[in-house]
Amino acid sequence: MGTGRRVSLYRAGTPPKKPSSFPKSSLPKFSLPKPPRAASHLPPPCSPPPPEARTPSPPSLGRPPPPGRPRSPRQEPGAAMAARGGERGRSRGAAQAPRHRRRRPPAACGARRGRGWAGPDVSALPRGAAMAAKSPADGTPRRPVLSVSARKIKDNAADWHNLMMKWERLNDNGFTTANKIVNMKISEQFQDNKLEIACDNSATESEKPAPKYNEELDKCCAELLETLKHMTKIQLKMEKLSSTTKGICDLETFHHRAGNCPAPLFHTWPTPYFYEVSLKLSEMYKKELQLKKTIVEEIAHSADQDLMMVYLSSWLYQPYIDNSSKLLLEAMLLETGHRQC
Amino acid sequence: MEAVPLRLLPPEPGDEGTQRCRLGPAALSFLGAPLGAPLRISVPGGSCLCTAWPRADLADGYLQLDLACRTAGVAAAALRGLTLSLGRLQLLPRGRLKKATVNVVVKSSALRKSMPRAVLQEMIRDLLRNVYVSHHYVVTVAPDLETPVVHIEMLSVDPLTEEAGLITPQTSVKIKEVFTLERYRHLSEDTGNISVAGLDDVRRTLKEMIDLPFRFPKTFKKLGLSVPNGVLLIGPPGVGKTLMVKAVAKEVGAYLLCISGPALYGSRPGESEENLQRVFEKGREMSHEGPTILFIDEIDSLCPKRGSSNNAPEDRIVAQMLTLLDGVGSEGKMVLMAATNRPDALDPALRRSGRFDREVIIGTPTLMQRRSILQLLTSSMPISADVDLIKMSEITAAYVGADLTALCREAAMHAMCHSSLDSTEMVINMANFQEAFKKIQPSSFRSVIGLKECKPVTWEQIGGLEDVKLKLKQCIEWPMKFPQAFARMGLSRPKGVLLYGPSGCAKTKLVRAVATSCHCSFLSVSGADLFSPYVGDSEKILSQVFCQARASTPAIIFLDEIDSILGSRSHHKTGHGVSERVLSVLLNELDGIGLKVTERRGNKLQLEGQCQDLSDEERQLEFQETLNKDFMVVAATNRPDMLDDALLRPGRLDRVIYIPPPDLKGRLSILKICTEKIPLDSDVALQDIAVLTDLFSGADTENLCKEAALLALQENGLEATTVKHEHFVKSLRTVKPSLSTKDLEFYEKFYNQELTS
Amino acid sequence: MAAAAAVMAAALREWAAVAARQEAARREALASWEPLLVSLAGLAEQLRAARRLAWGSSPLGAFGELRERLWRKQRGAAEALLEQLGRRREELRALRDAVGTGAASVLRVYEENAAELGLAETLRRGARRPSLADVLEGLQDVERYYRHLYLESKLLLLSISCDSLEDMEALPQAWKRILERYEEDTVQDVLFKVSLYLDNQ
Repeated sequence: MGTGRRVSLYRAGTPPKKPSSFPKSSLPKFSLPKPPRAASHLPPPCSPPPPEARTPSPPSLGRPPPPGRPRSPRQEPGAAMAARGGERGRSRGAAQAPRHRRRRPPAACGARRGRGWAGPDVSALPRGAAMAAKSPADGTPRRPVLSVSARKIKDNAADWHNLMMKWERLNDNGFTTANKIVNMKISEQFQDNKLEIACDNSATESEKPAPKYNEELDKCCAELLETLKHMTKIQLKMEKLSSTTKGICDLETFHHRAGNCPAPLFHTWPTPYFYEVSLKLSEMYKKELQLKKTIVEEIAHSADQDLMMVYLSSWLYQPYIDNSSKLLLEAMLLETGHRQC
Repeated sequence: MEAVPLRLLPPEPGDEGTQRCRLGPAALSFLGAPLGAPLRISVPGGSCLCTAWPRADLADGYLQLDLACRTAGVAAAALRGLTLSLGRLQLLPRGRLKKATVNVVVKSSALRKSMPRAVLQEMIRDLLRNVYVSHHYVVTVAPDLETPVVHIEMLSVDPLTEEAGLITPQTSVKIKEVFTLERYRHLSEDTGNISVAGLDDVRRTLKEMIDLPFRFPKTFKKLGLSVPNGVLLIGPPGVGKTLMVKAVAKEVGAYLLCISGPALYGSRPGESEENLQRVFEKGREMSHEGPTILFIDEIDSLCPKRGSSNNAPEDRIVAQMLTLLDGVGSEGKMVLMAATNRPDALDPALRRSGRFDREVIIGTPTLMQRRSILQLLTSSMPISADVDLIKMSEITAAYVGADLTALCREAAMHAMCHSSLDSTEMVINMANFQEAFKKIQPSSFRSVIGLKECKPVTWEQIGGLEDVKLKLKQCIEWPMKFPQAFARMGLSRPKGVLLYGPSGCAKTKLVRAVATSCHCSFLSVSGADLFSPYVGDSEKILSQVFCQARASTPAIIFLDEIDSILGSRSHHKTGHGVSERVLSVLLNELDGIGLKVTERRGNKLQLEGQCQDLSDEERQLEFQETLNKDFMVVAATNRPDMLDDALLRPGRLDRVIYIPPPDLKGRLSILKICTEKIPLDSDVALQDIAVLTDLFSGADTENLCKEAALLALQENGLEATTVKHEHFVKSLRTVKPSLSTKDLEFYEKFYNQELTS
Repeated sequence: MAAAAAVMAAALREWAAVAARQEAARREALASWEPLLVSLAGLAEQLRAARRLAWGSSPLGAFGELRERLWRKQRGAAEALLEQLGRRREELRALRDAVGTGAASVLRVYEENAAELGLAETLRRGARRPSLADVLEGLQDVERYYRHLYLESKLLLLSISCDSLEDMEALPQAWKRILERYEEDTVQDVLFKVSLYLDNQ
């Protein structure tokens, strides 16, 4: 029974998915299961050699590709795609907004129900604190004010979890796309080499395959840009969460101006600590987003395989999101009662 | 059925590393061995342990072995095409081992370092699982497995029985030591035993140095001792420096890493230093596993004195060497040894403590040492009973180990050449050694100045001078031959003898006779040998001669016409003539403060401690040896007045012997000796001639005889058969005596002066 | 003698049943190695690319401590992979131990009954029936096969280190080489042999 209720706490999207993803996915999702996936997707690094090996390289392979020529048509798609992707992302974001709003009420009610479930702790503890606090409002019982804070924080914790899960999903999608791009670029480089040789023989029609590549690359870039847009949005939401938490904090300090120490809202965490954690998390994602932005901008323009590889690797492993983020989140979930000890 | 021998076939490829041996059913049933039962199979060089399995085709009369577990001496190559009798196969009872201690041989030292002990231990357990082993067997890991482990040597097994022990997963395996393959090969391959004789104390010193720190590292640490890690072996070529190092390395079980100068030098600048570094690096790597000796032979060629040659590359090598030596000191696990025969040519910086802490001097072997070397050398030779090793060692003064080896080889060759037919019963006798002795000269003499090969002269070949002969025998021959009598009487032998007398009176011949009668090295120096246009060269040559003489005692140094070599300080007033400097060298060598350290010979221990348990004969030998540790200077001159007084002082040329011109009796005996080969007519009265030849020296007399014989030929034509008295009388007219009464007076005066003073 | 033969047959039958299961387990275990090794190799390539890259001049130069962070993440991923491989290795080890004890117990049964069976019976072959000696030999081969397979896989894992990325990149090939050596169907052959022996008693 308890678990069933807990599931409903998560307001976002698909409830049935939560229980399975919750306990298991959190840590492994980041590091462990990557390998198999990396195995299936990463081949860009490994796979370029095979085509090279497979295609019979003509013996007269010695002329370097004339610089510039194949590059100019290919650079355009990136730029063009960036613009178009931007448009698409905006429209999509607009479309999403209402959906988001729609989803909110059930979540809120879930939170309320959750509080009820967490009952004794959450309601009892704050109450003691509330007695001491002076209510600036209309003299209604203080309990709702406090419980609202707690509820808000609990909501926030759930939001954090969901946003992070979503981010992960997006990250995976983005990686697939980026991987495709890199693969394309590498095979294109290879093709170029081959073309050079072809050019030697028949220098007349060598630009034929270029448009096709552009198109596909363009599509992928747009896709990636789209993903980035989503991620940006998530990051904004995260910041908002953090500022909300700050608001709650401020409110509490306001309540407790008198100087007596506020009792923890839940188990042990003082309220500002929620803000601290939120801030930490959102800082991580902010930095990570910046990195991803750079990657999206550059990935289609680089010719250096090492650099592309590093882009991919950075995308996949998200260096700015510490391993501790999972820990912080779990700790927060535990504190707010989403998780049971 | 028992008699059917088994032909050894190469093992089947599939059986590699399985420890199986394939037998026919007949052999299996003869042995009564169930499948998989352990067998011990004795093969040339050792034995191996296998499990019995039938051949796939069940054919009899063949045997296939997998040598996965064998004793160290068994080599696969030696087994090809052998036939073994069934008796060589023995069924062993099987047991399970509780414990086993092993040495592990791994492929390279990098692997050895990178692999943690625990991992290695587990791997060894895995490798040994289900293998039958026995004490002292070596398990070879199947080559198709890509393990770093090559061999596993079973040091001890528990329970310790003769039976084959199966290693099960429950057996606890302990690793004692881990070697690299290189070291293992090094230690196991050259089984040829190197033996060194006569250098026991040096051997002990070296062994101690290597062994102690390795055996008791904790004690050393507790005592706060830093281990000495450099030894410089000094000694003339051929005394066995290199051999000694090898023998010690073998005995201690150390890895010997040799550096030779020529191999290090490279044409590229810096290459030599690089090579040197590499060798040291290798040594350091090896020293992680066990005792390691880095041996630098002929270090003088590698590290000459800096600054003397203006040779920058060499200086750099020396500098590099010094740095590396200091580095070794901090490691403390590698022992450095170097050998040289020219310690003076070494860079002095090498010879300080912390680099080469100890210097061990191995001199030319003494009598006792020679005897033990000869004993060792002849121990494996068929020697007849008449070979007297003591006598041999007496006559082989100045022979070093290498020379003695050559001597024995030569003797054996001689024996072989002269008894080539019945080679089965070949025996080397004393005559063979005598022949060889003629051919083999001590190597130290090959480069010596003044070594003379003189025609042997017996005392009897010198007429007259009986009292002089006696005196000479007294002061030269007796001390050498009967030192114990001298010692008993508290006599010290004279340092030097001066013979003077008119020219032509057999001074030189006398000395030759002395050299013949006592077997000793005979060095003769003349002015021609000494003088050289370079300043200081003469002195150096002279001192070198003395050095050589000391190295090959007993020895006689003969300075003929010493007045011409030296002169006297009082006569020449110039002050710094060459001859004066030569004189001062001579004085120093004769009566100097002591020996150079590097010229030390023999071993002190032998002289001090162990005399009690020696037989009388040996003690006598030793006695003789001790007393004979010196050389004697014999000088001859016909101008005794020209000599410096200091030279004639006791302790230098302390016996002065006057050799007078032959008197009547002397002349008669000289005439007899000279006319021995001349057919004399019956009318010849030698007595008369002797009366007539007053003032004739020995040489004059000889000349007279020749003259007479020539005259006889001249007069009677070539058919002349005899020399008549008249011929002598006639030749007396032409041959004039070379002595004059005035000269004789001078000598007589000097002689008398000697007596009175 | 018949009794002894029956005991032997029973022991072998039991062994064969277990061995067939173990064989399946082995295939499964071995199959799971490859993707992990491929991932490791991919990771090694990423690490190498990051090492080679001139960070300063790349567009990523502006990101502080990116390099260190990325490296840490990659190392973490590699370690996680190694951990998984370690678990796979343990599977092989368990298999080896099981096979080892199985073979040992059959051999012990043989040892106990060897005298009764007699050499002739042990070596007797039929038209379609391998001799007991052949079967026992096969048993030993299987045991050794598992032992060596485990050992090689362990050595392979031991050789992995983040310091030699080239070796790490070559891991899939190295694994393939090992598999090639262990591909020959020793186990299948022996199982077949055992079943022939049992069927044609």
